Amino acid sequence: MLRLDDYELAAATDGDLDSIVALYRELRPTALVGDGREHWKWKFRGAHGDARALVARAGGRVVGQFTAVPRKVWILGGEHTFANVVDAMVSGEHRGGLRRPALFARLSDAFAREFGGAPGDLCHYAFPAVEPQRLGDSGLKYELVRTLTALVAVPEARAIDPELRVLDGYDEQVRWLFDRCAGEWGASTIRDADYCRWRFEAAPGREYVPLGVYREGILRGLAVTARGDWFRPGGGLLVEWLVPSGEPEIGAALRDAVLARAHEAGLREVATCLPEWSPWFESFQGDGWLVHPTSTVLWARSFHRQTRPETLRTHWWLQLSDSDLV
Amino acid sequence: MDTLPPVTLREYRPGDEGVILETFNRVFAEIDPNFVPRTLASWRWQNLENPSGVRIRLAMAADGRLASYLGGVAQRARMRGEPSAFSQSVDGFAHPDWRRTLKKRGVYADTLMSYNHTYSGPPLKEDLFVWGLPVLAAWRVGRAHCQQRIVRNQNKLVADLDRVEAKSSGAAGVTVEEVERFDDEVDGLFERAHEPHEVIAVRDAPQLNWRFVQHPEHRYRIALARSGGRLAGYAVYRAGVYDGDRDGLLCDWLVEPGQEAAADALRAWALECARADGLPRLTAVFPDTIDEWFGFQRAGFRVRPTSYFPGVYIFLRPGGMDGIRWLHRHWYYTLGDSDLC
Repeated sequence: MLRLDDYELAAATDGDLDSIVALYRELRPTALVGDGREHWKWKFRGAHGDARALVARAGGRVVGQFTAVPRKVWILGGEHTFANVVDAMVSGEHRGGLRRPALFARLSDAFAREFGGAPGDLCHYAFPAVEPQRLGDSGLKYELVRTLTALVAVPEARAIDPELRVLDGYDEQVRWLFDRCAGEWGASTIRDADYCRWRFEAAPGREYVPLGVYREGILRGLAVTARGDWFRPGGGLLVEWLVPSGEPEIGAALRDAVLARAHEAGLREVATCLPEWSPWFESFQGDGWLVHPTSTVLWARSFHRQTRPETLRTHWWLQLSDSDLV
Repeated sequence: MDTLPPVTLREYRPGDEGVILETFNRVFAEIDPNFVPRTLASWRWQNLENPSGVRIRLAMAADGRLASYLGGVAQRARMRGEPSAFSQSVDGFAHPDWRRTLKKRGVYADTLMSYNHTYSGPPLKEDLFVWGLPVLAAWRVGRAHCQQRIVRNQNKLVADLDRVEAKSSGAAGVTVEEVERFDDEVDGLFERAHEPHEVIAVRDAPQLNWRFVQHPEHRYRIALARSGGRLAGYAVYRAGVYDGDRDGLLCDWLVEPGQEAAADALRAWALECARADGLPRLTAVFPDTIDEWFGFQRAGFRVRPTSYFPGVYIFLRPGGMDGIRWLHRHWYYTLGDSDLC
């Protein structure tokens, strides 16, 4: 058995890619599409900032990685970064088990030292599966922010707003719309054309449908839909919702379109996830959406007092698109 | 000061009431300008007269001062149908002379862990777990030093009375009767109604009468719903403040599975209680994993956030029980399980 000192911890390089893909093939064979290399690069060298990828090497190969997707976030009146930790893993033979998660914990701590804290990330967050949840309980310094709920509706035929469009691309109007929304939020990933192109157009193996409601040629509300397994296998998902809360008629028009299109597609339900503190959470319920529990939990490791769990819980505009769950 | 006077951690002994109440009332009066001093009768009711038992840990200094205190409410329970127990830590504090910064584990954290180990374990004692709805300062101590974890961020179910109409239940053959106290009939209801819930506090006549009839400060209204003459459910109501809002509060609720008409009738009764009190809303609290969560939404209740979250100390993982996530899925509770109504 290797000692912790026998592992080399370092930033991932292109030279590690084949070994990283082999690690995925061993532990998460369906997580990368194609040959895996381009998908990994897309994921961790995305629209917002440099890669957050630390690997553990031993015996000439990568045996673990701690990786995160950086997100440019509007918080504290300016642009900072959060990073969404995804695909953190250690090869089976190098794990210490739940009682002794030594290499995983060391990777986590090294990752936090390398990237956490101003001028780096103000927060690292994750939506861990069951086992990492227990690891989080076991001293990785991640704390639970929220147990996520789902808003779920049954699709139905509804009239479509005449100024509803399926977007064929993203332009500067996304940022205009974001700026009109963000004043109500304590923290939020910055939605702009570059971000949306990366998140929704360039995502390997995924298909997203962006719907926009326009008035006099101006984008007044944006909803992005997809199919996925987050709430129920193969279900309809509303993964992005960008509408100023003071414009309920725009929101109603977008919801009508989402449910009508899902009805046409034969979907049994549409699910989304909105912060409970948002006026939209109440508005969706008023339109017949029911609140369901989910098994998804949001954990975070804070590097600033404004990103403590109790603050994020009540001020962070978090969408499904902020995760790798959809 | 780095060296604090030494203390002895121990359980309650008759005669401790004086120093407990004196210190309790002093500490909380300093924190809360609206604090109403606790009476001996109120303290005795909560701590010594609970039919589920006594849960108190003290840190006493040699000079007789109370350095720290944690009083809990015991709850006899069923876990997967078998007799069990858990407790809620309710009143905890440290004497100002013994307070430490969060980074240094102080006597309050020692008292909290002593409570956990005394009543829960390891090794296994009476309580399956210890839970609470901590204020932020207490939560930070519990999180940093006492292995507490969050079960869920607690949402509530709210009926705005200007929007929600009660469903009529007369045609369904259900009768609702308001009573002064519970009798043994409710024990049978509990046996029929607890089955869907793998963890639930016992709701029998002694426990319910202690909680809602003998309460020294609050007056509750109790309704029983019968279907075909048999008790199908009950509800407990009072007007009160929860999470900053003065509402009608649905304090407790237990309905036999499949008795939707009884549930409708009890909801109608509670809505009418709130209307009669001139309040704008009726508020209920349940875990979001039980059928009632959806029954209330379909009846027009909206889900809204609260500032509360159940924090739990748990070490036990018997077969198939996966700690916090297991509790998240399987624990039934209402507002009346807490001391918030």
